[in-house]
Amino acid sequence: MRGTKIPIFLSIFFLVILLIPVIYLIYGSYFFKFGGPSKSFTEIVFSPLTSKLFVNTIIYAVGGAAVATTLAVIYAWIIVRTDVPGKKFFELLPVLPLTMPFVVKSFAWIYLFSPRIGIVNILIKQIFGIGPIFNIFSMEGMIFALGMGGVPLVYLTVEPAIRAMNPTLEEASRVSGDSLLRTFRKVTLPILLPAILSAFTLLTIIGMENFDYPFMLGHPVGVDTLATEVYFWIYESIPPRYVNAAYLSTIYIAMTFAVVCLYIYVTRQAYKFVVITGKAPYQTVHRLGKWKYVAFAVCFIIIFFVFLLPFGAILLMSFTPFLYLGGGAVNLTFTLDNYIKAINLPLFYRALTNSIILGLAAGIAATLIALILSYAALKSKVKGARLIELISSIPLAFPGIVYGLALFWTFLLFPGISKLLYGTIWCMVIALIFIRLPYCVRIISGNLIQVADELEESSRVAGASWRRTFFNIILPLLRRGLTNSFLYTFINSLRELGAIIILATPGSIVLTSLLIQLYSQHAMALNTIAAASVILCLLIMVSLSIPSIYQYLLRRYITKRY
Amino acid sequence: MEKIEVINEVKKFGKVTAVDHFSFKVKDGEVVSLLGPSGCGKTTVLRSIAGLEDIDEGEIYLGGELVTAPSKKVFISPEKRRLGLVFQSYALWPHMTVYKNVAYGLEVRKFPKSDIEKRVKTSLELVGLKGLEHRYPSQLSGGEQQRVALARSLAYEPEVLLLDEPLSNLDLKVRERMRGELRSLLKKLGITAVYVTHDQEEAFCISDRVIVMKDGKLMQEGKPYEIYETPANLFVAEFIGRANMLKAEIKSVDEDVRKALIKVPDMNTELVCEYEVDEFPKKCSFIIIRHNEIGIYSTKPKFQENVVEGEIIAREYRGAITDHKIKVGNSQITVTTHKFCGLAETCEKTHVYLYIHPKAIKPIAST
Repeated sequence: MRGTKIPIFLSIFFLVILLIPVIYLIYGSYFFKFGGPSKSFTEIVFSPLTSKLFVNTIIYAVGGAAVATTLAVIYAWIIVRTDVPGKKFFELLPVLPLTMPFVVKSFAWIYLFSPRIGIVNILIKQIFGIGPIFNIFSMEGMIFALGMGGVPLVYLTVEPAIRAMNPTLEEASRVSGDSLLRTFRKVTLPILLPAILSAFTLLTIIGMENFDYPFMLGHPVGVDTLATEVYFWIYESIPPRYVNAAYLSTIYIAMTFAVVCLYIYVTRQAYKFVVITGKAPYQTVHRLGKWKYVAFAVCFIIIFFVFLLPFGAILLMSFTPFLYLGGGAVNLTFTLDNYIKAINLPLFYRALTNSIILGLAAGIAATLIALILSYAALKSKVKGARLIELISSIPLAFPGIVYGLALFWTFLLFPGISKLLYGTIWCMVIALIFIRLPYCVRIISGNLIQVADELEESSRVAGASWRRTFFNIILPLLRRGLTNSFLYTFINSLRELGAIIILATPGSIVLTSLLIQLYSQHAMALNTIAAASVILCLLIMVSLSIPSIYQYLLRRYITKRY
Repeated sequence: MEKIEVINEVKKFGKVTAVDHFSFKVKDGEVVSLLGPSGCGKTTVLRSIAGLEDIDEGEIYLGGELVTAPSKKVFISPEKRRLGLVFQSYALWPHMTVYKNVAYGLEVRKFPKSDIEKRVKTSLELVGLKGLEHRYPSQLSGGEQQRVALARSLAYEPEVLLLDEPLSNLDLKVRERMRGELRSLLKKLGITAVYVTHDQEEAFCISDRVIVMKDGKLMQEGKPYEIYETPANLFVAEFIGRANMLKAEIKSVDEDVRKALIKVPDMNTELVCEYEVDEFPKKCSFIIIRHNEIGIYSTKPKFQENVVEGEIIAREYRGAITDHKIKVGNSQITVTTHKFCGLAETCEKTHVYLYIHPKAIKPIAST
């Protein structure tokens, strides 16, 4: 159909605006020198330190992604395809870890597995006289943390694929005489491979770009990745060496870009030979017999480490005074002191409101832009419009900290813009829009593709203009996609650390940066930090549950709709 | 007066020419079908009339007004063409009730509220859907959804109604009932309509005039019986009805008695053909004989003319009718019989006689 070109123009406009800082970062670093004396580009690229960082980043990302993928696939398969007891409980739980920002989880792991103050290590030492058994401040610790942190994400990708898989495929294998385990290996895994592969690759990208865990768990003991090294040149080097950071960012992006290309390739393949259709087939489950208790144990252990343990630790920490585990006796007293202290922190209220404003603004803006991009890509019927989808996945290749640096660089070049934006939360809003855009576009275009062209055409023929059709037909049908996109961005804005750590100033402080600040100021005040963390988690939890509550009320009080 | 006029439309999708210099006219109050196999361009023609598709060449007039003409840079957008369109998939808006769906076109046109209510009620009554106003499309059966789609496009009283295979998603029984209802409704309203379908029976039942299309080109146009009785070419002959096709040549034509003698080499015989058209073609390369217009006998009939001998080589029992595959000379003929035909129970390898009525033979001049 002859459409309007407005969405195309708007899309190009937004993409250009968002990509300009990147161009300034890459080209600008050659022509403008800011900060202290810098090394040359080749010195940075070919230094042994850089290759060490490179290797570290890859080991960390691939290791974490492998752990998370393995656990999540096993967990999802047991829940969907077997009669494991406590199914409802296990189905509900994997979403909950998303309410814990990685920063908060790092505090939990430190509280549990720090060699000095980690309660698990201390308890085991006291009881068995050995230890510390696990040091979270290490590469293994980082991989462990990323592995646990990545499980929900993989689960949310793989679970629908398992659910959509035709159970007769597995049944056919069982009938022809294969054992359940062999069926899982020979039939289930190959069918799910595209979904698993895409989740694994995506998590690898997230791991490579991740700042939180390397900063919290590796950086203090000298296990650095590219992300923490970029941070180092900006924040910890005196004077700050922005050019070094920019050079390093360039090769950092080159690496992530390669993996993102791989990811796009893998997911494109996935659409091709995937067995998934719109309608979920009737699900039959494998009867495990007495093995179901083993399955239960497996699921429980996974969810225990992914959520119950870290969340329990944070809760415990927030309600108790500093735990001193001396002399064998553990004296537990519960108190609200930590919460009172957290709330009365001078910057707490500002950080809280900033976080909420940041989430709302980034959520609304990213969703609107993604809506325009998706519409232009899928419905404008202009040649090459689908390229927009591809271009909008470019931010996937940008670690938050690098885009933060890119914005920072743009501010250095243009004092005018800097005066307007630097030190406000609006520059963080821009960073978060950029970083979350690919995800929002995927969510919304996934929804939009289900809206048949005829629904629009019939509105036009009935006499409605393009604009009216867009507001009366398209928008209402996209309600679910838009809500999901908004919530996704909102929640991730509250969780984000990498993209904002460079941009946050005392005036534009948000909850995650406040936590980091507290931690760096008095590392022993973990209990106050825990209380503030719990408040942050609660905030995310409440916003996550809003659509469910809305759905519930709708179902309860309004007759069943389409 | 012409309500719709398509002149020399050309539409290309990349390298494929979907519509190739296609022209046709629809008179006021006429119902015309575009009939053809899938991919023949019939839906594209319909969509270009609606303004949902741009065209590469040609002109389209609606009610005397030029609405599409790429050479003159004229393109009136679909919402300004004042027509109704019923989609194959119905395209009902899932987030609106039946009432809202039907009222949409009226609301867009800013009808007063009381008027909207009245008109929605009238159109729903017209299609027999009273009382379902507050349902959502997903709560309706296929037939009901189809009626809502129809009511929606009729509510604002468009001058032209376009229907894109509106019955093809329905069960056979519902489809047969709906096509009769649809025809009488269209006639009752006196609306000008273009009906796209690949189902010839549907086209014949519903329309005043049928246009057969192939590869974006017009193959034949005429009243339903003209299309069936005198196919203009091999494609139409093959596509419409079920027919035997045989290579043939004309030996002689007697214009006084309107008879012709035609040689059919594959049957090793010559057949007499009686014609009703004014002019019999001078040359023909094929004749067609409908499957059900051949008599079949176990003994040699008394009359001599147009009788050939053959052997049954296969039978297909189809319930109401039976197809007999009969070898005659070097050709294989299909003869359809019904259960009251004496030979309905014959078995294979039976020797039979076929009588081909002189009026059943149709010469095809061109391929």
